[in-house]
Amino acid sequence: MKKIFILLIAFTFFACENIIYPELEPSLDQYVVDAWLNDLTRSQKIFLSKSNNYFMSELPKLLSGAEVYVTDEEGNRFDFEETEEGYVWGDSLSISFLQLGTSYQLNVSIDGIQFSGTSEMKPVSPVDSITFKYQEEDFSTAEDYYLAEFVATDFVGSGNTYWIKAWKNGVYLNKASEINIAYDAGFSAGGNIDGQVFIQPIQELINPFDPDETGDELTKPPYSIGDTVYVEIHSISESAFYFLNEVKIQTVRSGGFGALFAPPFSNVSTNLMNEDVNSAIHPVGFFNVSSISSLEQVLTPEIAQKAQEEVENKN
Amino acid sequence: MNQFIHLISNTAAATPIDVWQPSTNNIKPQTGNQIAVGYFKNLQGNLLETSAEVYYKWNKNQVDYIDGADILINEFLEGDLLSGDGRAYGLELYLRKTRGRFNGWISYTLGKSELKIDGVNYGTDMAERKGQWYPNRFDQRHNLKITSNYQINDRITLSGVFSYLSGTPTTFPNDRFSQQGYVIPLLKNERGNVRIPDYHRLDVSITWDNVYFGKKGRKNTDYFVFSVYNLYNRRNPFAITFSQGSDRQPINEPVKTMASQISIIGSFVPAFSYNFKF
Repeated sequence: MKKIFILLIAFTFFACENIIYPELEPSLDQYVVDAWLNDLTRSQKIFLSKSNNYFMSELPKLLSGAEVYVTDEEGNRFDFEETEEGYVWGDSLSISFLQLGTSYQLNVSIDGIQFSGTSEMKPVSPVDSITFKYQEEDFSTAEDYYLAEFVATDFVGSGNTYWIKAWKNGVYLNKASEINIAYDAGFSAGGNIDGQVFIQPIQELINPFDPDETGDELTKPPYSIGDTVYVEIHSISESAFYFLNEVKIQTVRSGGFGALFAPPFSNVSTNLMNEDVNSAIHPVGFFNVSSISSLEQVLTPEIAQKAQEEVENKN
Repeated sequence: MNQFIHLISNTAAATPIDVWQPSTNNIKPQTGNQIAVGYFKNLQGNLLETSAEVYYKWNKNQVDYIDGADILINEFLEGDLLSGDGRAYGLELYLRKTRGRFNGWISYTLGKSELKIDGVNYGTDMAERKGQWYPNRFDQRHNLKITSNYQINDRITLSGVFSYLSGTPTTFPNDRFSQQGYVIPLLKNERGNVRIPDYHRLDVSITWDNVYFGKKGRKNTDYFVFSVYNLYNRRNPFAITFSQGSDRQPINEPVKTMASQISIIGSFVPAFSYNFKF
């Protein structure tokens, strides 16, 4: 048995990977609704498009001619006007119409079809601080580096779900593996970590790990002196949490032999539906309203010095 | 026939991850029946052997995983499985030349193996989710094997083997859509929509008998073989993946999605061996 195993490993040295173009059927052309609204003082955007064939690597094209509006529990209606960038409500000075604890319904009317979905606005905990930990140079980096961590506490009461986003020097950390979601203060409902500070791995997921430009298989330091880190915590509905979890499972897949262990592909969930339940046309995408708290922090030389001293004092 | 243990496999590869699941109160044992009718004839005084056979098999309680199942190390795997009917039918042909300088055999099988499970592969029937027939993991439309030997003279023999197998059906996304800058795969509710490219391979070898021993009155015998595996260097795919890679994509640029295949032994492999008896 062991011999067979060693032989199989030896065969991997002969293995090669190349790109192929299997024939796929024509695009399903499904309606896609991208509606993630928040309570920041700025315009709100909803994007409608159609799905592309898997090998068509293009940005989604906006669908014209739809009627898009959001209603709340009291029957107030907020219309979204069509612009080149999407269906927009308000401008850069508009204070958000979203109120905490209220449920909102999104209605989209396009090509004679009506879609709708609901989402409740939940509160979010503030970002208390962002700290930096000093790490000495190790086998993966060429220099000493700093790890950023944000500190925030989950509300007491089970079922609070959050999406944490991070920006380094103004650039959003957009890898699928960096989707940072939390159920209460942990990774999932079963974790049972309620009312605590977010757990360490969630705090540290705001660090980007990209390969060094030198091509020596080293990692670029996540944060160096002078870098700015900006963290936003979004409150999301529980179904949005499960949606983002599924997105992570479907998109974070290792290539090569890791593909053998990957979960089979399946469709992610949606909270949008066609009002005509018997229709074969169903939208994909999600509607979510969030409250956002944020904090920005620059890694100044003083902070870096203190972080270094803290580590040296321990040793 | 009955079978009390079930194989759940993730069909991304020719030899995928297999998980064995015993029958439980939720998963009944598989049952199957098969009939086969064949015609066998030897021609020209047993020089040629021929046969043709058709078979039809129908099975119950065939198990497959649901969409979104978690197959690996799942304590409650039964909750991710559904069962239904299966059927397989095909034609098997065989021809063999038993004697002569040139001999060998050809076998060809044309077959189809399908499953129909309610709740899986229901297409656009969102209300009742009635399953449609779809090819299962073992569906292999064509299976052709040719083996031949040619004796050039007393000591030298040439031989060749050619195999052709149709690719395994796998389930991969057809479309993609974007949410907040992330690209998410979108599947039709259809299983087996992409087939791994076909597998075919030619191996040849040449054998010299009595290279040293057995010549000039020496005792014992030996032979030397030189062979080439995968003569025309075909990269037979072992597994295919659809992915968007793990590198950071620039913001506001489309995320590149692509399919790639891995081949093991993706080139021709020459070999030689020397065997002797003493």
